Amino acid sequence: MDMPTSNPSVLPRRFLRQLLFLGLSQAERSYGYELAEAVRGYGLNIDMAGVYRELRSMEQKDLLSSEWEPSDNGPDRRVYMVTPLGRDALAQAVTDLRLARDQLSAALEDVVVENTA
Amino acid sequence: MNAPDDNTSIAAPKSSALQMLYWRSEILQVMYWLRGEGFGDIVDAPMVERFLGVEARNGVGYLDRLVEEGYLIADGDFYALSEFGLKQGAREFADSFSDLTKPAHGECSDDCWCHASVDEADACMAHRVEHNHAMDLKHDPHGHTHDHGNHNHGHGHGHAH
Repeated sequence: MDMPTSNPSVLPRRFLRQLLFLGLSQAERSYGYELAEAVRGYGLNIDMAGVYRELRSMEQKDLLSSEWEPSDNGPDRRVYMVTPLGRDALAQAVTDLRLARDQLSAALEDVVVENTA
Repeated sequence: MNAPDDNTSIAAPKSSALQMLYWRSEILQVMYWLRGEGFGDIVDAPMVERFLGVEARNGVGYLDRLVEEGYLIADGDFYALSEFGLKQGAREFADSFSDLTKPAHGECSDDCWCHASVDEADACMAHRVEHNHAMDLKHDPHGHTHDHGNHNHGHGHGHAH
């Protein structure tokens, strides 16, 4: 199966849910493939299997809802939406990511790496 | 079986009979979802492992069983949905989120008698299969919904689930 591959990245997988939320915040309704692409665009190396499992977990926790969107030209597609509970989690995700960014920035501010080559 | 990631809810039952029902549903759902995402509906055992956390050597057995039951068509190491499997996959996917308060395959509530032993789990499963085939989208006396081909819900054997 021709699955998209992602660029190398250093972001840990634990950010997957937060990054999926960012992807979901870009549109009212999103397809799984679009969300996977968005997450890769943010720099997380993840395949469709990981996205499937995370979306499913989020849906079971009522952070997302989804429905089948009928298509005349192809198979039905699953479309995902953020629930009211998910909107709270989205706001928390943004807070978490900003905190991670600030902590990393602070940690890196005074770092000096000597080139020994 | 591999331990699933922390963020997945996949937890297969212990009894082999219940496991088969469970993995049938999970595999059909993944294949139907992949089809909707534009990746076609062809999988192999390593892909099943990546999506569902079931070891490939066990996954092959489940896939072959689904071929025997008419849900899948095999071509070498690869498997595709049959027409019947496609319909069942759609139904399994829709049902899996239709009412999250009800038990899924083999996932009875903590106080179900079927947790006492493997034999009782098999008996519980057999009872559910029998009921599901006997009832067509009707509510049982306990208020559970039954559905042909979906052995998830509504045990109807007089115990709280």
